Amino acid sequence: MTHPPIVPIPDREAALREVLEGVLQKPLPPLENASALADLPGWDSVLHLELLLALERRFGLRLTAAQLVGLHTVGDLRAAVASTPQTPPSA
Amino acid sequence: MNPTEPIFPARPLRLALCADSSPQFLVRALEAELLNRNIPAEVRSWAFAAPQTVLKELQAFNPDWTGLWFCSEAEVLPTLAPLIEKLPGNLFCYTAATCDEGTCGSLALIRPETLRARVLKWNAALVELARTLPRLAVVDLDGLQAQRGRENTFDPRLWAIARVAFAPHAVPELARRTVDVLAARMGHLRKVLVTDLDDTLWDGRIGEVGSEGIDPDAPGFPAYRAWLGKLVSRGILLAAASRNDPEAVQAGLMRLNPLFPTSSFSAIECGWGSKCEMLRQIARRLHVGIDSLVFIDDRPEQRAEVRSELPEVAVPEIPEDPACRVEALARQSLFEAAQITAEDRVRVQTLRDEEQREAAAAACSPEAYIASLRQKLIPEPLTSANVERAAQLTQRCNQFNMRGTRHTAAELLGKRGWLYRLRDRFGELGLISVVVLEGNFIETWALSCRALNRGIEALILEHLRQQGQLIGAYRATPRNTRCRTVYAAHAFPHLPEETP
Repeated sequence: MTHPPIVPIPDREAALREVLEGVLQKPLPPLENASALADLPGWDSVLHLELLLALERRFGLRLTAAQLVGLHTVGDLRAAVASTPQTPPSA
Repeated sequence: MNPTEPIFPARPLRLALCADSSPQFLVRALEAELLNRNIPAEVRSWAFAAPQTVLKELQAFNPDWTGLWFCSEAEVLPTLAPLIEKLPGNLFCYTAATCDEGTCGSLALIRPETLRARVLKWNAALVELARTLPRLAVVDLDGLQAQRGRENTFDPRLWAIARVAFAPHAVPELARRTVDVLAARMGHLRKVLVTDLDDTLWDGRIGEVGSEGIDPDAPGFPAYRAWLGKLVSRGILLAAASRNDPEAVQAGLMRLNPLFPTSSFSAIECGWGSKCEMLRQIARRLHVGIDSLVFIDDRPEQRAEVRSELPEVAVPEIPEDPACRVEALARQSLFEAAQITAEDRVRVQTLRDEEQREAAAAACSPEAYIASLRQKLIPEPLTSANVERAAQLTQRCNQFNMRGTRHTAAELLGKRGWLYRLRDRFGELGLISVVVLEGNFIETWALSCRALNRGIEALILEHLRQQGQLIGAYRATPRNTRCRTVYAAHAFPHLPEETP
């Protein structure tokens, strides 16, 4: 990979849902910002880490250990994803 | 249950995994891999556990296999032998990942207390234990890390957060290799390598350019054949499948003699049918299941065809560049081996003996060295029992083959002659020479190259002098010039040099 994947802003919500459903292998209810990840159907502590790693790959994120530990709600995920690049890095 | 016999469980396989880290990603991957292979299994794991503390639970679970995972990062690395004594049944244990804390530079290997040095020593002890204990299998996690690079197999963030010792995206490959080891012990082995010929065994298409036009020595091709040779010597059967006329195939294979003899192949299928039909035919002829085959072909469309029609056959991807193929094939760890056998143990012992011999050789002059070996040559008359080995010696010996003769076992039946067994003070070298007589003429004398430069020729001629009035002769071949003066040098009766 020469540079991380760029997910345009309009597609981010769909991509987020795709990643969540892909890891949890279950259809998901509407995702409120306040929803705890731990309350999502099929969640367990192993999937939690898998989820965060899958998010990193999909959005080109690189989170620190502290950030990984700090992601508890859907809103936290949206905030992390919002910080990803919106344009490709200049050559 | 006898731990050294293959297991064919009538009920789901019970797999226990005891780790001193958090093994959940591996457990999940093991479950997925076992499902993929249609091996019904139940996996239970113990995290952050020392096996001796969970013995009662382990016993209650009564596993078919108990896996042990001590990770370098936890820095425990216990002494294994007393631990393993307490654990019944079949065991597998991961090697510890090589890691350097960077606290003393290049002395990390030398200073015994560093993690680097401790891991090296612990892995060596694990391997040594596995050599002597058939019920213990080793899964080389460290080897996988070496292939992928530690940055791809260790994520320090996950270690810090959750004591996860192996990166989740590399875990599926670790699981695959683990199940390979278990499956091999249960008898699911890849036993046969089927290779394409054109542009795989040699450069060029023999149907188009003829046997003179192919190039067996283009970069990468000799290394590929050498790799095949190593597989053959460790018991893998070699077969060829080629869309060519049989005459062309024979001509091509003759060009590879004698370094890569045609006798290396257990089956050769050629003609104009499909590769899939050739693979089925090879499996039938060698009496193996189609799932025992590994198929190597340079053409992507051939690989795709076999993968789709015969999914049980392992078809590795190989790079287009022939020089990169052996490296790529080696990384894929295609051939798992069953439990170490008595023959393997002898081979291991033989290798140790060799190391000792080499050390002794380095220490003194050639004559002193030979004398110090205290060699013993034991002649065994040719019988129907050893005639196979005798024939092999005539086929394989080139440098010391007095008249360049080659025989099959059938040809040697009923002939008068001897096989010679060599022992020295370090151990057994096996059957290293054959002499076959026609009347009182020494029709064949072949000596294995590992018995050269040891004064064996003199010992053999000494034995032959006692067998009556025998007479020998030398006949030149491209490789046997060292034989020309042997009879004369030992004052043994001989005829003038034969014209070839």
